Amino acid sequence: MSAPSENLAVIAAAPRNRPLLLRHLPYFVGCAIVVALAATVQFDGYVHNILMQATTFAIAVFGLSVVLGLCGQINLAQAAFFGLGAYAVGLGTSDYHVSYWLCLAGGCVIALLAGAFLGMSTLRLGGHYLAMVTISFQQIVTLVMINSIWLTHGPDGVSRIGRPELFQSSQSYLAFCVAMLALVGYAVWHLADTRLGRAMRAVRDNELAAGVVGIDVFRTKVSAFALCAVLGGLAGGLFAGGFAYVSPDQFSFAESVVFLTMSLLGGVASPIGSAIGTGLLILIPEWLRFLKSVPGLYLAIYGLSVILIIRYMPDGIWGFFNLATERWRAKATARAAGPALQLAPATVGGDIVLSVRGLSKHFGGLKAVDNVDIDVRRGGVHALIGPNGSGKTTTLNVLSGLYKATSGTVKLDGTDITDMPPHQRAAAGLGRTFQNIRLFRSMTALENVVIGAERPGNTLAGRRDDDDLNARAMSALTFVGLGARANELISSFSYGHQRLIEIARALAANPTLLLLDEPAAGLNSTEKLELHALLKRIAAQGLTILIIDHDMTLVSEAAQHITVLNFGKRIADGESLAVLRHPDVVSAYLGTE
Amino acid sequence: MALLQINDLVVRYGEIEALRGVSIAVDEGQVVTLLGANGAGKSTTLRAISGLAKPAAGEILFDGKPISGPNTHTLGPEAIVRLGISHVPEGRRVFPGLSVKENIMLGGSNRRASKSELSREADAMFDLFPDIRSFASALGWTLSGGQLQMVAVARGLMAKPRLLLLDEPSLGLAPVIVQAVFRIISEIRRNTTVLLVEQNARMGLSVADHGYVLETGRIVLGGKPDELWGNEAIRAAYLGGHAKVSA
Amino acid sequence: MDLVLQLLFTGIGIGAVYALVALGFVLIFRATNVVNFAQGEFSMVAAYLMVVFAVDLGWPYWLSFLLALAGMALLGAIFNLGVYYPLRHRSFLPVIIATIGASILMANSVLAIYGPQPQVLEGWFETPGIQLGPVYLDSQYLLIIAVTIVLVIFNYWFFEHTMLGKKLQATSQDKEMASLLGISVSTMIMITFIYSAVLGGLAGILVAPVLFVSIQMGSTIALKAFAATIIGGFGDVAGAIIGGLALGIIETFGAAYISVPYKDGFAFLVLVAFLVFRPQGIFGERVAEKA
Repeated sequence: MSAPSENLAVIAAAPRNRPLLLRHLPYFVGCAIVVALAATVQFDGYVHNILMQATTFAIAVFGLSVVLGLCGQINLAQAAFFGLGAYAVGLGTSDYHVSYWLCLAGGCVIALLAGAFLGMSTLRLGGHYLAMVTISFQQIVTLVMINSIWLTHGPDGVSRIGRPELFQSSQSYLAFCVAMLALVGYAVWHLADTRLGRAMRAVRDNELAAGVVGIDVFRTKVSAFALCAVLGGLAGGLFAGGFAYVSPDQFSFAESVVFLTMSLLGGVASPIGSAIGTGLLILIPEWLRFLKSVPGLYLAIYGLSVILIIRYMPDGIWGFFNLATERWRAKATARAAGPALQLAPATVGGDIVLSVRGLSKHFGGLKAVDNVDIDVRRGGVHALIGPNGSGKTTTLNVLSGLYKATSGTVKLDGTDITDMPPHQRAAAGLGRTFQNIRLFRSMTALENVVIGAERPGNTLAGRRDDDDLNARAMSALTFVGLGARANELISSFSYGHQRLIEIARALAANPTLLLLDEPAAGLNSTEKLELHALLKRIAAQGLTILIIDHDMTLVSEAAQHITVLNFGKRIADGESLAVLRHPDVVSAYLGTE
Repeated sequence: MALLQINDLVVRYGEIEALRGVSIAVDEGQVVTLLGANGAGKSTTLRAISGLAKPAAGEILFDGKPISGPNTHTLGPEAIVRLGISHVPEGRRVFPGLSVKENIMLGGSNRRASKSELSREADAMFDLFPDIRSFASALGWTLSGGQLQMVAVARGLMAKPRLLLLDEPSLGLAPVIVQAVFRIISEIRRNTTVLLVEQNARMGLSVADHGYVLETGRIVLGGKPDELWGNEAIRAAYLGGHAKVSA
Repeated sequence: MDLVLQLLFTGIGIGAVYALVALGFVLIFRATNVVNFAQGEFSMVAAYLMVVFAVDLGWPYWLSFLLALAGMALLGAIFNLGVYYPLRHRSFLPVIIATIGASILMANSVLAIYGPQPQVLEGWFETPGIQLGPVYLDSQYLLIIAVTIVLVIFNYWFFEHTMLGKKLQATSQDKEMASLLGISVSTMIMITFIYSAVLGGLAGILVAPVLFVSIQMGSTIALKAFAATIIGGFGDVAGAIIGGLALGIIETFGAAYISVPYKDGFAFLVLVAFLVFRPQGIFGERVAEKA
């Protein structure tokens, strides 16, 4: 059986190690049994239709679990993609007598392109604007379906839709669909653990940090939309073949809401949740058939359940179940420590690692950063300090690409990074931590650090397969003292330890320059001593550090060189102890008469 | 009896202890200054008083009556300002889309007053802040830092408070403007008790009757301004243990 | 030329309806930073209330009108308490989804109670219209335009010249600061929802005699009103009104000169075009989510 190429591509992204597939043998065995059942057990027509609908809807809802669950982007046009696939198969087989397989593939390709196109709107938009674009797209597709009678037969719909030669009987076709569901389910299940899946989860958890650690956020979002759309199209094509008749009202905005509700009810982040949600929302109305006798009652209850689920069960049934059983599941197992951490920062640009010239950042009339020059020498710790409102954090944000400089240049190791977006700066060798700790909260410590290690341009990532990445991540975690807790979720770590994990994430990327944004904020005195020791060990490996902080004791002890800002201007620059005694610096901090 | 009494206040942001047991007293008619480096907990103290932050432990008494504490019902900011405590927060936060006069008039939102009454009172406020009178109909976003600070203080005074909480009025302002702002603070103190938070120690102490120094959530020094200024420990609180002042 | 004038009149008339609904959108957005996907349903429910009072129960038009608006005020309050307020600290995604759920709930509840048949609501006036030279001025359209003008003036007066209006503005610009001054933020939000529901309801009652009163009228109007706010610049009150009028005109001309069945599609195309090329609209500020 030839599966559409999109499925193969997704499976190929999953790790190819033998042991993984063997580990998941139970899944395949289970699916084989279910497929066999579908192929042999005689269902009466009514039950058959229910199963057919549930199977195809589940595939569409898996699509939502990718774009909304994994990537956190809202998509209210899934019914439109479903419809594109359905009409491709419907019109193709019935009007143009093209082979079913070709039509199914064609439908998937059309949906893929449409999804990617829709995903491109995320370049400028997010949030409710994105929601509106997807709704508009949905409405336009519906309008075209209803009104382009020459193409789509309009409200009459398309009938006499064909099936593949191999699966002409209802029985075998259902088995085929269940098999597809199993395959898609497996792919989506493991997508989360692939590089793309991790990137999607990072974008969902903390888009800003994702960019800064080197993930191309835009491309990730477009991929998520494309994948979601492909699954929708695939599901629609299967649906068309199964019911032999389709009409526009089956692919309206209301159906998109139905898909969304199924996704939310079960638990948006997992395919298991999607399956549960779909199953329940198709079966329950059948048991409560009287609901369908009053037009609108069924959907009214849908609407109400969306509100209730969002209010009381935002993680859906599966999420709720996960939370409730957390304490009974096996404790996270420890991992082997991995080799000692190596840091091999690039040394292309000579003595100066970071060269900042004439940097300015204006917000309207406010000159937050005013013509600042900084030279960070290779090796050792350089501190950037100044009183509240002096422009330090703004400078750091301009250096990492979160703000665009009004004027001036920034060169990292000889490369001009002034106009680069954050993920390209990461690729050029810039690493950074955040004052308000931006870790990916739904992931374990190890996963967070692995994402750091996946930085494009990381020369120490080995073959970039799971083993090498995990080993590198473990090295970094061990270096900061948290190797034993690699498989625990971020939420179980104290604030001070979360800070260390963020530093480990930056170290795993093997950067050329490490920017630390107020690493001592919120730490108690013991933790600050440990931080100081860590900074010494990092510097001993040859990595240059630029640190911003308010704790003068830490700064004066850790940094060899200090630059001081006040009112956006540089007022002092030089060897630490001398700078801290400089009268301009003292009056900047203690105040002037 | 102090107008404001804070006993062993503990405030947490999630896991971080921003205040680790702070005790402060402000007598009626005084200007008390809270000093400390960034992140020491100064703003948190004010936020706890005005109801923006809920303390984890400790109590706050205003005019002898508890406004926050283990046995007290949590009061929101709207209720606290009605009791007579007005908070001018860090960053001034003048409403950008409203005019200067409208901003000031809204300062009277803690009591029942007609629009014309508020208008008259705002006009009277311009006598205290003559520099912004000509900006009465200018929109908030068009003003400079110094002008914004004056609008914010005028707005805070419209509440006719017994206690004014001023958070870092000198933030981001050029020294000349800072002096102008502190001249106004000296005027205000005649009628209003002020609890002032400042990073700029010199200016903060220049108007104060009493001062406290906060360091990572604890009071490390307290006393008259002269005593504090001469104390080496104040330098350490701001510049670490190694700094020595030449002048 | 005669046709152009006629189309212009009709376009302005229908544009005024979009402007009213758009105004409701923008007010809620400015106060709560939430896009209310159920805004159109307020219009639909109000139209049905009019049908119930004026047609089914046969009560006088003006009484039905007042009762319908009162009903909308109540609905706005319930909506705030049931949908927005409990979710006000969550991120925008759950709130969007909840308002979508609410719109489905409202539309289908009306369907379940009333049935799928579109209803007919008579216009306010006995005379169907007046002929002014080459242009026929439909009386209901005249009413729509007149009421919209009155309402825009009222809205301007309310927000610019009353203390309550200033407090509402302050709340939408900086909630925390407003509370520090003694403004009750929860009350301000409640007022905003009630006001926006009444605005939406008014739009629905005005436009009902022109279209059929149907379950779908809400979502169609809402999406077009949303397009109008995007065109004008989201968050901008004047922009919403001008955007609404512009869209009404574009749509009417488009239907006459290009295609009738795709009339509804123009709004979406314009919406998508603006979102892609100029998300800040004609008057708005930068739209990109900040770091």
